Amino acid sequence: MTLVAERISFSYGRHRVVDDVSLTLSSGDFTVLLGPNGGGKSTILSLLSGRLSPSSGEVLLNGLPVSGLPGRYRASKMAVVPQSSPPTLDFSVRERVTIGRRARLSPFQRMSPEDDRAIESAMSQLDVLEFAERPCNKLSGGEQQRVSLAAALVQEPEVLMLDEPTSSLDPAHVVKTVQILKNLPNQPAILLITHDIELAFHCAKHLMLLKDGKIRFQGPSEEILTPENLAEIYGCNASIKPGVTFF
Amino acid sequence: MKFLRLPLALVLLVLVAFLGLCLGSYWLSPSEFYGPDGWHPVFVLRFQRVVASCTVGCCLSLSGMVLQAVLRNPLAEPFTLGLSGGASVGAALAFVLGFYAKSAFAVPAGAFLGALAILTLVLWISRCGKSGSETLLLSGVISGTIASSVLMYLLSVAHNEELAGITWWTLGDLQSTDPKLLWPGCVLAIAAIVILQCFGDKLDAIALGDDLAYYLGNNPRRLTLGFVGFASLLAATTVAMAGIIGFCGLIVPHIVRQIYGCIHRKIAPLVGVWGAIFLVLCDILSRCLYREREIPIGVMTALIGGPVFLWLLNRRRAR
Repeated sequence: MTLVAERISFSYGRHRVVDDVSLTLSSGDFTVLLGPNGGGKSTILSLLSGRLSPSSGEVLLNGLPVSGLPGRYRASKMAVVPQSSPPTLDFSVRERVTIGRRARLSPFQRMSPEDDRAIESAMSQLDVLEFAERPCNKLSGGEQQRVSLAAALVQEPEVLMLDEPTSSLDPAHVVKTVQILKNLPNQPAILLITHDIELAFHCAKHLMLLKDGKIRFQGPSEEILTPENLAEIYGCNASIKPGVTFF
Repeated sequence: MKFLRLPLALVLLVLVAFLGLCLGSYWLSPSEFYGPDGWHPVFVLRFQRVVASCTVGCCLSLSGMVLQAVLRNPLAEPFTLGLSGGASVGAALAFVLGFYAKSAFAVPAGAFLGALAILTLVLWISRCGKSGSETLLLSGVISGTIASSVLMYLLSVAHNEELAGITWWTLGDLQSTDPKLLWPGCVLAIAAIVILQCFGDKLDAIALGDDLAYYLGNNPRRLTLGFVGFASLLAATTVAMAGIIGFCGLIVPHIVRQIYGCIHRKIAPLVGVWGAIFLVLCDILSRCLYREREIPIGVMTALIGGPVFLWLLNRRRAR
């Protein structure tokens, strides 16, 4: 499975948000996208998922344009965890995760025991079973993020894209989430957007630094996350301290 | 026990409907339903009325359920998008222009066309839902306000008899439902339950927001348009059958979601059946509480629905 973006660009009106970006995600990849606010990270995720169409360039999933894929096929291949926003209706945690699983099924298909097992397993992995019957919109931000992640994992995607999935998590759940992502059985291609430089340093097999819609630096994290590169991207002094870490 | 939910609700509906046949300005015992001269005339009238209540209650509740999910607003109801305003103008025009005297279908047809006209206007303003559910909602509110102004003007030029007809119609009237509309309405109500069971997953997805609906394999714009059109068709049908009946489409989906959860594939039949139960009960009360003169059904649903809704709101806040 390969997701390829070939020289994609996108503008909101006259403001170019993504400028000539190319990237490839293959099975087993763990790519992290870092960059300042408004740098175009979330727009790239929307373009890769087909939610937005690039003004130039194209996004291909296994050689096929992603925007033209049939919906159910797309949902079975690709899952996205957007920045969390709780549902307005009182969907319970179990219902929210079940909706993720049903995206793989046809409207007339019944849930199989395997589907039920996948739902239980995803909820158990992310420690949301204990509040499975509570409404999602009554949970804390961190709990909601874990539910969103469980709902994406239960799709068993081959490409998993996550937009700041750990921003509200406590350190223990950040570590657990990273372990889960690294050890997913079907080894999907993962694209993680984050502002956590330390998380990026320890997780990424491939790291991209983005500024003003362009990829400025990319490669292995230890080569890319230098004080000079970070200063250029963020406009301030920052560095990664080697030593004791959660990861 | 979960599999008993729908059968129990259906049994309750049959019991309530049976009560609806017996109770009214006077008690009609079941032994009087059918006599040597055939069906008792009162039974025939009440039977039509009970069928109309079931159909209208079912369609209104399903319409409210769909719009609450699509607009992601728990306060949405079938007439949120201004359909009641459009339907009122259509019906009022039928009265003022004198069409009501020429054909029994004039007022229902006027109401139905008025509701569809306002829906077209709402969709046009909101660029067919392209601008998001908030714009759709605002377009509905504005269009409804414009329609209300037109209705005010029509009321100001209407004669006394027309004025009484318009007023009674806007308060909801199950008594005057044309029998020819009953069976098409019934078929639509049953079809709506089946359709919403089939496409309940899509409704769940759109209720989570346009982005998530897309990530779950759907086209959010197409879904929004389809569901809004479908909910409006249901609401417009009820308006053509019985005028404007508020609160049913607001509180029934609320209560059903609180008891049975939010998965629309599972709750669609329950919402439909409980909507029917609610409206038959309201109709019985409207006939029995004040026997000298019937209380309009729209007044009764608001009198029962209002306090129930406030109680639900407080309960929700307290959780």
